[in-house]
Amino acid sequence: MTLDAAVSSALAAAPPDAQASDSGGRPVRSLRRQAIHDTLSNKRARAGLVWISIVAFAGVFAPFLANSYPFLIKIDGRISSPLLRHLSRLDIVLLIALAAAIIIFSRRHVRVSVKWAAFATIIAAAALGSRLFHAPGTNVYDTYRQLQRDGKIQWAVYAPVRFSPNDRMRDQPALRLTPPSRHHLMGTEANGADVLSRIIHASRIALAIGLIATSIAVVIGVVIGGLMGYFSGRVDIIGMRLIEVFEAIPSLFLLITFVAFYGRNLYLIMAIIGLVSWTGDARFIRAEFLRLRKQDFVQAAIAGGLPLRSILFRHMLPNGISPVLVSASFGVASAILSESVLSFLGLGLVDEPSWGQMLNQALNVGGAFTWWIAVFPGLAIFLTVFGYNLIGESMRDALDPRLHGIA
Amino acid sequence: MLSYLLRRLLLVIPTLLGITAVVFFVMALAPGGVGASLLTHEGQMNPQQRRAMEQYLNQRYGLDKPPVVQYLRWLNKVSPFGYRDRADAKRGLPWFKSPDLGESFSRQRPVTALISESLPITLLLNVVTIPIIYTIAILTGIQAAKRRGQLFDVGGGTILLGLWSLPTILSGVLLIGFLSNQEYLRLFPTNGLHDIQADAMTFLPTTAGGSFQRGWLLDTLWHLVLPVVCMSYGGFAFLSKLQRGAVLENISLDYVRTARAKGLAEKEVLYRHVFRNSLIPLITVAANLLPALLAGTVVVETIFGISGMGRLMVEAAFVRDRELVLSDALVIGLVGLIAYLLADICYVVADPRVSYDA
Amino acid sequence: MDPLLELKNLDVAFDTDRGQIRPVRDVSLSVFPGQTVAIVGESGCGKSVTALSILRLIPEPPGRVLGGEVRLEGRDLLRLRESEMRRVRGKDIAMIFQEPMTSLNPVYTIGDQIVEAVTLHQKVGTRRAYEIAEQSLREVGISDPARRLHEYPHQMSGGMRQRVMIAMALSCQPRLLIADEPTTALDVTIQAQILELLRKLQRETGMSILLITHDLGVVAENADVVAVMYASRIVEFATVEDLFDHPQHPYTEGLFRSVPKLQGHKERLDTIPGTVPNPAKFPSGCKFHPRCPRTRQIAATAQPDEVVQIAAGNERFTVMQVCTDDEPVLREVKPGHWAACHFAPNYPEAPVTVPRLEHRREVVPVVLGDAQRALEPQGATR
Repeated sequence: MTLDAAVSSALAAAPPDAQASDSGGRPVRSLRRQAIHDTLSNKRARAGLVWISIVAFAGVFAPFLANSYPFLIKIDGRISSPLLRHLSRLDIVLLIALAAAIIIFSRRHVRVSVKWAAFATIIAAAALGSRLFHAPGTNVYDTYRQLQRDGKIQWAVYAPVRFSPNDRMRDQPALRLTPPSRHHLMGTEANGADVLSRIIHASRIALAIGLIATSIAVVIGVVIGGLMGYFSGRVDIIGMRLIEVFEAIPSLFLLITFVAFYGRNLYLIMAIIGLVSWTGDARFIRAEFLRLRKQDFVQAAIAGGLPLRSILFRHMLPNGISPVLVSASFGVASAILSESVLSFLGLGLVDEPSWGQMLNQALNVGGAFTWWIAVFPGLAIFLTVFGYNLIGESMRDALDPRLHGIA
Repeated sequence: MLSYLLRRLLLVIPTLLGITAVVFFVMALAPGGVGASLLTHEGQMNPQQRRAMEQYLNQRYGLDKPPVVQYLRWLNKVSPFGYRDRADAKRGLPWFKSPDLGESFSRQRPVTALISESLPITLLLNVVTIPIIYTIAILTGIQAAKRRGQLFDVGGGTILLGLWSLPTILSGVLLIGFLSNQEYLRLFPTNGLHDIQADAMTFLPTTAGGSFQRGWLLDTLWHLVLPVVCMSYGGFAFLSKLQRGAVLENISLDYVRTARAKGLAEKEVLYRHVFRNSLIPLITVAANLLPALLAGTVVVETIFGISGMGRLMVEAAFVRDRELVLSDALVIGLVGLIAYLLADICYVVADPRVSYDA
Repeated sequence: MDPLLELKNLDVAFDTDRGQIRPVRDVSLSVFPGQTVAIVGESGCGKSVTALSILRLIPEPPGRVLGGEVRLEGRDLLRLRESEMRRVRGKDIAMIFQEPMTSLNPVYTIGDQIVEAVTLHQKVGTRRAYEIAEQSLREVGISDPARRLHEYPHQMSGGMRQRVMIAMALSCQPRLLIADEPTTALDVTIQAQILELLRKLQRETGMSILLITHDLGVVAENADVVAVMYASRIVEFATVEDLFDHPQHPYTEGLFRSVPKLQGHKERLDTIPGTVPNPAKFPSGCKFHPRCPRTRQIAATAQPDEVVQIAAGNERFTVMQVCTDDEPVLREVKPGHWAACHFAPNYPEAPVTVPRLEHRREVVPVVLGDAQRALEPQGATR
């Protein structure tokens, strides 16, 4: 293969400085930086990232984007903010977390571990602090509509979408199942709630399920796969059997069983999705660790008597994590899909809006096909899943050495 | 070859044990234990029924015993050989007995009967879908590889990723909403796999009595169109990408150059030499595809009102019908493992380098 | 007698995303019927690309023939339509490759693969094709050929597979066999067997062989005529005896000095300083000048105004300006001996002619000590 040798040597030698940084210093870091750069310079990945940013924005600022309570209102000469008064604990924790993230991670000269520690502390404090905070127990969404009709409101500033997700418009029963209109841009559902508002608020569940479930899967997969790859032999054989068992059960069946027998709890659903989808990550990590453990730097770490934890997580993991990042990106997409399918089958949450549950409504409404209940939440699921898949695929392409070189 | 197959078959047993154990203990460790889910209906029962049920439960599970013992009892019941109760000890060979899957509480019928009604329907869906998936995937994958880097490849790749991301719950609802609803196009049936009068139909289409009768076969096919569309696009999107990669990987190998040096036309090189080699990874993933397809049928069967295994499973889980859930898991695990075996055999046939005895 | 194959000024380029590279530049040579012509050179010098371009097997894109002619009995292969070219491949010109382990399709039996070639070029039925395949397996020295036909490539050793490749190549009685490093991947003893087989088959069929190799020992024992390639060009072309006795190009001289000899001094072997230039970054002028001892030698006695300083590695050498500015072409510096060096005797007056040598070696092979793998650098990765 002189031909290939000629071409590839020609390409390899072209930028001498790139070669130099590869051979000395930190090869892993520079490769990863290159991969991140390649991923971000891919148009399709950027499109996915933009959409997911939009969803994340909608999730964090949901109460400000869609709310039945006015942001500012003047009644009888008094200015108040019913919206802020009705913020839930979760709303507040999310806002604090976002602010903390922006402040902490924009600092340049702080070590990454310190940043994460500070971030975690702030979130924990916010979560505890929010316990002291009491939102009004019952929501009477039509209060302000009624006040407005009665002409008691002097002026008011509303959120862009003037309906809360659970505002069932009790004052206007005729508004059930109406197609998109000027007031309800995406129509209303069977209970009269605004579809757009529900979609905005449901983005929280979608994102949270995706990220948390995938984190659980990655942690389980890394630990099991890492131990299998590091010890190989008998541990490996037992681990492979375990993986085969979990892969032989269609994960959806396991999910349905879990949820049916353990009840509908958001955190439980996240944990279960994580629990049934770790096998791919474990396989990847196992393969990487089998390869890595023969390499000199790992042998040196073992010979140096470092503790197992240090060898596994400090020396091997950073070198073997790349394929897991790719599979995590696809994993987030499939976790979102799993949740939506569960909700669609009627096994999801009851009160909280979720994209899949809205689709289910479209099927269950008898008679006419209310397309707006299906199309909009369905599109939201599709675009989010597509976005994560686009990012995952670009990452895989960027990390695949075979794709470099001859174009 | 035979010993290879035997070994593979023996490996199935621990995996099946693992599957049922996972499902069993998920249920057994649920709040309230095993009995809670089974006795939820007791409020509606008269004392006689209730006593009969308790007796049945105790006999079958020994609910007073720890979960491990309960599981072993269940295993003994469903396995074709093992310890027998006194009642049927007289018949047949020692240690061999007929497997007993128990009775469904929610339907008041033997589980075996329920499964033998549902399984063929799900298998029919999959048997129709899989060849479609593979045909489309192979054709588009090869075309994309041939036009690597061109618009067809890049654009097609994005479209395929989009299809792969398109949830069945959306496509199914939209298809049934727009194509089967009176308000829009009434092109396809909404429910089930057969017309209500399907039993009275002739098998093949006829024009008896002056008017066209579509017959049983055509009726079934007509009912199959939308479910199969929903089940197939995700699979072929995934496989098409895989096929493209496999073709590209093979096309740069030395043996392809040899084939060209022989004087073969590019088409012959592609379809005779590259094609056969590129199928090997597709066969490998076939085993993983089937569980995914079976899971996919849950959604499709729910949307299109088809009473197959998926729907049976969801409904069983809904009412916590433990017998049914366990047996479903067992059967689906078994089907999946048979698929693994079939894929293994295909793999051995397709790739002569794989030894039967390794 | 006319040559069977003649290359004239063949130019091949590869377009990569970092610019164009030229693996074959201005290559001319000829092969006469029954003759063995060896192209010898280091890895990456363009010899394999030359071979592949003859059959038009370089991938396009990124490859592209910029110009020149490839004449098979006067017919320019570069101008043939693809369908006509396919009738040449395998039938008139067959090719065997370096890697017998991967050059056969793993999923077909070797019988299927030979029969495929036979039925493609000969109007015979399947049964007859299998007989031909069996016969050609027997000819390449495979025992029990009828059974071997039904075996898969992975069931055979490397040497056996190379024999199968040869059998496949010869099943249609080609007039030219291009052997691209046919023995590089094999054990030394198997190498000798395969080369002996090729010589025997050549005697029996009268075919020509274009032998691509980096091994001077192989050249010495098999070639009638030798073309030495360096940096995409032929730098010397002569009969094997003439080349070994009177090398004209400093690169060829360097090659011979780096071959170990059994007799003689126990000094360290000479090596050619520096490395093969990368096709993406060829030096100016003569591509060999950064490594050339001759240009430095002559520069030492030259006029000051003829001298420039250039950097090569960490040292500074003085080289002739003519070498850095002007790339020499292949000229017939003496009758029947072509070289591309400004300081080859008679170079300025020598005519530029197409290298043609209708020479057959004497039966007694040239003795060249133990000249195995002369060009392979130590610790080579291939």
